[in-house]
Amino acid sequence: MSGILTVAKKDMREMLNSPIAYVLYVIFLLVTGYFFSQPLFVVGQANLAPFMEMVPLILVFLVPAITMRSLAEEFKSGTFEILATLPFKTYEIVIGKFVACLTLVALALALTLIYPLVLGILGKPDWGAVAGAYAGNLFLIAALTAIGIFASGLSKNQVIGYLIAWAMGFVLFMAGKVLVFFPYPVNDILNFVGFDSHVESIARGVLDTRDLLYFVSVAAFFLSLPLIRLEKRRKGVYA
Amino acid sequence: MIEVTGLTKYYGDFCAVKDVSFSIGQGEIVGFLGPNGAGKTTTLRTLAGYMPQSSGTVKLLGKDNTQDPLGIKRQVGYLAENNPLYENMEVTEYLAFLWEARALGDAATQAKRVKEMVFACGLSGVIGKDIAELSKGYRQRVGLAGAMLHNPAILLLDEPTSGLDPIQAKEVRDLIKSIKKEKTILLSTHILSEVQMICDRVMIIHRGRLVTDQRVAELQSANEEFILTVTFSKSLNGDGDFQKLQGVTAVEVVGAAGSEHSYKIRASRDLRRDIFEYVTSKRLPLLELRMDRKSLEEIFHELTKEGEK
Repeated sequence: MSGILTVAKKDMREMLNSPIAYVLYVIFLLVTGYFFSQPLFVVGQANLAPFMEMVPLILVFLVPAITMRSLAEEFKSGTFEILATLPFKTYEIVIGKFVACLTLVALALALTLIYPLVLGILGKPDWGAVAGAYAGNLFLIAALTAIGIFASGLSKNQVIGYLIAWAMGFVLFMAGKVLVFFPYPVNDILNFVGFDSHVESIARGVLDTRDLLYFVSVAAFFLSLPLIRLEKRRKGVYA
Repeated sequence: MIEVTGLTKYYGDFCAVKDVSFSIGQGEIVGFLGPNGAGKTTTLRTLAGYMPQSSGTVKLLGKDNTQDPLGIKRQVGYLAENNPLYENMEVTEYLAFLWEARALGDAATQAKRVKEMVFACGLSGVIGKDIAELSKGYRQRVGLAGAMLHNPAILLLDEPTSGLDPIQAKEVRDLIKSIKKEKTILLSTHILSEVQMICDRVMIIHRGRLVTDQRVAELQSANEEFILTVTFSKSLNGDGDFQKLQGVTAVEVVGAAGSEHSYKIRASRDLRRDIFEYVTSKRLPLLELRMDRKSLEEIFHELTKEGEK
């Protein structure tokens, strides 16, 4: 267990020692800031909804940028050999990397807490809905991060890691938006597979275990893939 | 300390290491020699637990690598080929990470040990720097400090001096020499003089097979050959009749440079005295007489040629 923490700390330190994380934070805050302040100043409405609606889509772009180097860079620079020859279990490496990326993205999301706090000064936001939305996005981040780790472990190439994670996240994001084009029961399946319906109900403040279970299973599924892959590699099934 | 029996490793259909067996006792320092692609790195990676063998058994400190891989990793120090390091970390951050990963103890012990390693590896000048900023020689020292941090009984070093300039390489060799008394070290290299300088024993691997496993001194004496070069100020008849001397195996006319005519004589014993007497009895105008022993380089060349057959 302590191995998870050691790997997570190592990865976070590496990210925070490089400019990548800060650049991404700035971009994230600029984009989300636009969607928050636009209704505030243009329409004169203190409303968190436009911002909250955009966050999942922005995360689809942001999360892969954080996760893309996770395993790919270790493979490329050869440092995976250091990890693999230290007394770590394979799951400690994968979950440690997941925890590191999850924390870094969650930190980005936490920075946006300034928006509801500003609204709190201007008016009376529905704090339950705000808390629900943030909690929901946290689960969404977990799912996207797991997808990102999986994509990063596919090759040595960070760009491939980004594109695959982005494409998968975008498909899941869009699945819930294109329901009208599909007949029953395809649209029902899409509705369940896509992020939309799950994020929506949480954002309304409804913490349904089915939605949480959805995100947790997506995360678990995509984390198990690199785990199996690395375990096979370690057992010598392929080099 | 290290017991390897019938180690074989396939990558797909390609056999990188075939039926390699050796054992290394405590305190031995063994040079693992071979041309590029011979299977050195594959063997070391298997020992270090980076990947498993296709067949054969590997035991380190009495532990089987398939039964107790983590137990082995705890007690082995490994410097991987090309010395991969986390570029974005400072030297101390990297050592702290290794300390934590190996769960070696509290912060006070850590500080003490890191200080020791920094001193032993001459890293005090680069302590607060990012690893990415370091020169190759310093990076290699960081790698070595990392491999030795937990005071392992066994050190596996994959080409520790490759890519270094002669001065840096000497520094790294001196560092290895300074620790060799207490540790069992298996060191791969393709630089032969390095094996002569630091190793007790040499194993030569070629095309995945072990072709030699001998003490360095034995390897040299078993393949001993004396090469004498004699130079005269005039040309002799034919090959100068050196063949008549006892112990001569071959005579080669090296050729003339201006008024200098050289002959290379290969012999199984030291022939300097015989040649001197021969030359004085015939009153030949001798300019130079030089003797070389066959270098490890040439022995290595011959052994790897044999392996090709």
